[in-house]
Amino acid sequence: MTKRLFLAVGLLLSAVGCVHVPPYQRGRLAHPTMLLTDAATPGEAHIYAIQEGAVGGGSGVEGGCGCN
Amino acid sequence: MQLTGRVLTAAALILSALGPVTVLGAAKPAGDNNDDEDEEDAQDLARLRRSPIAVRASTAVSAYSDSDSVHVVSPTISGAVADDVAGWSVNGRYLVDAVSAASVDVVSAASGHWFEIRHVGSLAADVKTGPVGLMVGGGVSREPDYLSLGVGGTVSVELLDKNLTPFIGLSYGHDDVGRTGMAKAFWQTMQKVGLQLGATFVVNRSTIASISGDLILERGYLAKPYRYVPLFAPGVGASVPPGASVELVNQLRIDQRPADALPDARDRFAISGRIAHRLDSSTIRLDQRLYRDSWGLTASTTDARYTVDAARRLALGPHVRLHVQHGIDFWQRAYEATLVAGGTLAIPRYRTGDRELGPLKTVTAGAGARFLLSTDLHAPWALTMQLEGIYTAFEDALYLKSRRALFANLLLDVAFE
Repeated sequence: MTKRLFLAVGLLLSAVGCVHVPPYQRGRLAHPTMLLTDAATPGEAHIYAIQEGAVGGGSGVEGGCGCN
Repeated sequence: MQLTGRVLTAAALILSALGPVTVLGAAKPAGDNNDDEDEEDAQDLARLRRSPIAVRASTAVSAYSDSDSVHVVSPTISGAVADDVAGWSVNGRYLVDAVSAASVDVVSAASGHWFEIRHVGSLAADVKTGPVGLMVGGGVSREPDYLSLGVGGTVSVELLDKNLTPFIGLSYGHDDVGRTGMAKAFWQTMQKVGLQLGATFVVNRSTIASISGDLILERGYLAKPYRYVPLFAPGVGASVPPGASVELVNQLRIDQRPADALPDARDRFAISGRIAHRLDSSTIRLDQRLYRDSWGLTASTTDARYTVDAARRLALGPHVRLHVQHGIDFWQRAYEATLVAGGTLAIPRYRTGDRELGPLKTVTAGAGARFLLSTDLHAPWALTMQLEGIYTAFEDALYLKSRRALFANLLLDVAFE
């Protein structure tokens, strides 16, 4: 698990060796599908919250799952 | 107080912005006989005067059904008012879950089929001032035996010519947990505090990524009030196979059947990465989360989506998600009572029948499609459909070895200026 964690972090950090992209070259980045917000719909996210023992990585605030 | 101030400011901005919308929507004076040229001029003028205020609304209905006899239908409505030029937005959402269940957990507790409705509401506001962005929001979820309240906020700062955007988020939640018919005075409480730190960064002209870390501290009642855990005599637990039926469990267990009992503190950690890459007419999106908590549960969740612009108005693509987890440290398929001095049986301090705390693997696969109903870039209308199949394998649980589920979602987005 720890190895996988470091591998994932390492891969992401290696990607930080990024180039500086000026605003006029960001046409592709402006596409709606390039938003890095939650891709799951609220209903989908709720299912994951109940059926997976893990949390985190999301964004936004909402009332709890109430899945007792 | 700052939060209240921001909300009031946002509300004042909305009200002040309603002026130009009203003017643009005014009827023509009576007796105005415009010819075609005048009409074109008027349309051009209207375009130029287009209000920066956008009003968006959406309605959705989703349905979930699984092989464990749980069925959920969830209608949702949401709305937002935004001024992208001024950099603010306010949005709200209301959702109702209608849940019908006759799952194996219900059956094993000798309870009948039940039906329940959950109401969920949330409100959020974003404000951007120069490179600094602020989001605040709150939500409430209510059902007959559960009340959850949450608030939170995120601050982000655009740096390096918007190539790097670090952010920090804080959240607080308070849950009241009870049983239907139980007096509120006897309900249990749970509180949670969340901290999220991360950054979004531009990798190159076609790729954007983010990395974030979450710390979530939960305190209070963390068990499930309706769950009762079957207990077995010393030495019998190993003979209860994974997926053992209700009948077999009842045949092998002892009479004692204590309630779910879990520690009253749980510290949860997650590190997550997201990356999106735009090709000529498609986007690849990959999310990865690694998770561990103080109960010993470790998990990996991988989520991948591929969206293709199939036509001018149509985007569609597949979605795959894989979740793998190891169970909590005190997870046992069949908890055994222990023999103590005097020949009496003692029950384990911690025990749970919540199989989502045990080892499991979940594969989700499906597809989605988004169809633009209008081509107006400023006020698009769109219809989104999604269908997912979910398969969960429970490696070490009673009653169930697997669960199959279907999830469908239909969403209509409308926007006005």
